[in-house]
Amino acid sequence: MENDVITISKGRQIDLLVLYCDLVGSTRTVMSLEPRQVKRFYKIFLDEMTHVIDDFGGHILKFVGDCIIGLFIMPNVGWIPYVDSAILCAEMMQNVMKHSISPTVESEGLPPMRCRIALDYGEVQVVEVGVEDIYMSVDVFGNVMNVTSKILSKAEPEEVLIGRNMWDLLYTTHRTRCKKTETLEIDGNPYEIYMLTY
Amino acid sequence: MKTGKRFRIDWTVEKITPIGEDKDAKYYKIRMVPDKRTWEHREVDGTKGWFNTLENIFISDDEMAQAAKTMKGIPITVSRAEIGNPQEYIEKSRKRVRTKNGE
Repeated sequence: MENDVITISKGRQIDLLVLYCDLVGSTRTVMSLEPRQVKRFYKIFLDEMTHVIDDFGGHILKFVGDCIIGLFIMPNVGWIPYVDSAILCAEMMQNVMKHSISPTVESEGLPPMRCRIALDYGEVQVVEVGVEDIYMSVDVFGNVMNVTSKILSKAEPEEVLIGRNMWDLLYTTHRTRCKKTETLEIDGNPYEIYMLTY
Repeated sequence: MKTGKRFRIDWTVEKITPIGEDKDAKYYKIRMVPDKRTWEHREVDGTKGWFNTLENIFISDDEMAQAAKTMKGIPITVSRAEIGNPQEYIEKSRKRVRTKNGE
């Protein structure tokens, strides 16, 4: 199902916060499960994280395997609550994983789950891609998508990592909860990553 | 339309003084200072201003006053510190997950 909020931005350049969340080690984990259990394992994670992102005002762009890509679209005016919601959403996703999803799947005899999360802020182009009459979809393209993916690759299980561009926009309370962890090289320039303590 | 690079300074309200009202609204004068958890009022090289302790940025009082003039018309946003009660939210999540049990 197409996301209406993203679809109506088709053809435009917009600012947004990107959230990547993926399951850690799931590929190896599901190899030992029956097909029914594999379905349950992924569905419980994707369904519940979708609820959390939606409850905090975000939108699902897509699922890529066991990775969820969420977006918080930033209006030009009144954008501050969206930044605060995105960071609180990431924190809640980790808490829901730890206290709701993982204990439930374990009680069903499935392996425990852990996820990692990355967030950043930037500008994207919303583009309709595909071939008419065969397959069309709306997607977003921009450096922030690649950067957030790189940040995610640096995250350990249960961590929330944030790019410098988003850190700049955080509420003081949240900013002081972040610790600088490492520096990426993006287009030849240093780019700091921060870890949210929660 | 793009508005350029976004920038954020959080403020702390120090004093609210009612200054009048009409049939549509009540009016207040609000004294605010940069959030003192990350901003300190200091003198640097003989110039007084606000120093950000996280980013090592210094903004002189004059520059701050100039910036304040450009704030006219910008809506005041109150940051939501949290959305509801986290424990209640997690309990809601548990119920949702259990309800789908066995699908």
